[in-house]
Amino acid sequence: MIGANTISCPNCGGSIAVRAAGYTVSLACQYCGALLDVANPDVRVIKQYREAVAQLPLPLGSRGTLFGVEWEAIGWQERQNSGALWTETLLFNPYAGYRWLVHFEGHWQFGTMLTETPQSFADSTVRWRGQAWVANDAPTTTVTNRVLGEFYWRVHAGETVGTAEYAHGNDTLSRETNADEINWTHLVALRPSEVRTSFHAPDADATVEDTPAEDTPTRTGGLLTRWADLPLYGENDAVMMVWTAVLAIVLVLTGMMTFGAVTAAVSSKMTVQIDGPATQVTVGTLTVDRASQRMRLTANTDNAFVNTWVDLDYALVNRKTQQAIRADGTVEFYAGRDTDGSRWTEGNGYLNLYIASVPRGTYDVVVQAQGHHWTDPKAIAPVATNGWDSVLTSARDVTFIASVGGMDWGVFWTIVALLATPPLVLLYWQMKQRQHT
Amino acid sequence: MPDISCPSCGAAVPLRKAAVPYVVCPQCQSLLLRSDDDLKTVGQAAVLPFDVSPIQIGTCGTADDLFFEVVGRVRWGWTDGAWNEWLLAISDGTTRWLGEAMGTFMLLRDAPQACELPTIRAFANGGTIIPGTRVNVGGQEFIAADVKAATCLGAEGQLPFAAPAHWTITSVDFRNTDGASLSVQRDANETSVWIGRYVELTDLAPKGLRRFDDWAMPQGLQ
Repeated sequence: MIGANTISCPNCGGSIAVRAAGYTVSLACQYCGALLDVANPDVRVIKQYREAVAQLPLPLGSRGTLFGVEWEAIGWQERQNSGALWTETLLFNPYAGYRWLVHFEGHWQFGTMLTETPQSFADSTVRWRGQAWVANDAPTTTVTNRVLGEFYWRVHAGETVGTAEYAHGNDTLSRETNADEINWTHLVALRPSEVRTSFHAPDADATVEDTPAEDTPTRTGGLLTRWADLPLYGENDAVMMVWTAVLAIVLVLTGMMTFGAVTAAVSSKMTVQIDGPATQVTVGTLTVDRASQRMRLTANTDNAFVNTWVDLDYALVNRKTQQAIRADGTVEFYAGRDTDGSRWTEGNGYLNLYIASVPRGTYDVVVQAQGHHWTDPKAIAPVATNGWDSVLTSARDVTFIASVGGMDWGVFWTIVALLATPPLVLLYWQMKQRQHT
Repeated sequence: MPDISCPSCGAAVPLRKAAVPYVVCPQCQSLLLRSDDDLKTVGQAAVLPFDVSPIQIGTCGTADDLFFEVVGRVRWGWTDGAWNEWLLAISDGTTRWLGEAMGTFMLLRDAPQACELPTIRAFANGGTIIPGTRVNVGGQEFIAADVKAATCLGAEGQLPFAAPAHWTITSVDFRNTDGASLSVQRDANETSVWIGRYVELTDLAPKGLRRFDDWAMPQGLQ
């Protein structure tokens, strides 16, 4: 079966192939220019044009392959607005539908009609397929001067539509509006040689520099315009941000684990007399073999450590210089019963102290501890008056561990929070947006 | 598949697997109603004018992971053009429509729940919808893109309704920002709503497309 239908021009009698039979509504006779209505079986002349049939850059009926699809040029129109004159060739393939070839000052653009409506989300900006498209100029009126060949709508010379163009890089979104319809077309720039070779039209624009059409002539160039062209946000930004954050967190974790491994650790145990004199013990000797490293000083008490606090004074004594880095803290744990009978506790019976950057060197870790007893004034039977209690709490074992290196989880979780917040905020915002629409 | 003779002209009427009551005789365009294993002439469908649609009765494909076969078509004309609606028999026993206009395709399924929307109900009761009207169906907002009065130009194959010549409808197409599509059609008796999306022919992995001697089948289609 041939994908075309033949009719006779009622004006000049010429035999015309209807290439997109069934879709084509109006047809301008290629011999006499008469505009024919072919929407109905009885072909009739809509209007006779006296002007000569135009010379077309791509003859009607010529075929070429663009983007992997063979197209036939079936219609042509010359259009203009206040500032420019250009032509549009309608391409057809029965399996792929319609496309446009827009020809302006030797440059070509390939146009595809959109089936979705770009979202306008700011003055002079629309969003389509995750990208922001910025208006080139103020909307204008476009007039069709001449038509030739087939069209899927009732085209006629003098037809006017409102047009607005939006740019993203070299691509253009064009919006055409009339009383009944709003149509959007996506235009991509082609190299003139692409059109020449694929349509075997050697004369078409051989003199024009072979670069894709720049359809943003009003662009002033420079960094600011480039920034203005950047999309405000894309459809996939949130997902990309989440993945970037996850990747960054993994990298940070790997890095911190690698450099934060414990390189040396010592431990020692001492018995602290509660309400007794201060006692001192050397936990051990540690060597910092990098320029500076973190040191962790841990003090653990036994399970019976209640209503007691132990003041700890650490000194890291550099063997070579005998200078000391000092740190102090308190291990404390209190428990009791309120007058209403409810139990309460405070503190936790262990202490972790961190010294962020200890310089390279060998250190004796010395700790001095002094224990104190605390009496709950609200206790119904004050524990301190119970002789057993003072015996029980008179001495407590404290285990000290000092280590060089180690993972700084606080820093890690801070980084996680900072990295995860922006994508989560965006995801939340998008979710809210979706609920709105 | 069983072929039954047309009670009007005696030609064999091929019946495909679709649970729809009407079929158009390919020979004489008689509109036939199926009852049990019998066919009864109930009217006359118009002869389809020639068109270059790539779809034909018997074209198969996949939509939403379900196999389909094209079993029927109605062609609608309005003052400035025409479009096709192809009936798809889906492997799960349901039917859908593949709308074809200006070389674009819409895959649509019945959306009876949308008939209850105030805008649609007012339209069903004789009201009008103008382009730009918004409706919200299942969380998706649609904007009326065009409104047309159309007449049935012809029909072929199997159909869920009688499609007599000169049957007139009012058809409203809605679009949205994501390529979804909503179609509302009203005739003298009832209003139906169809929801779906725009699709590319290649998305349907079609087989058995119509061949044209002067056009090569593009890669990926057959």
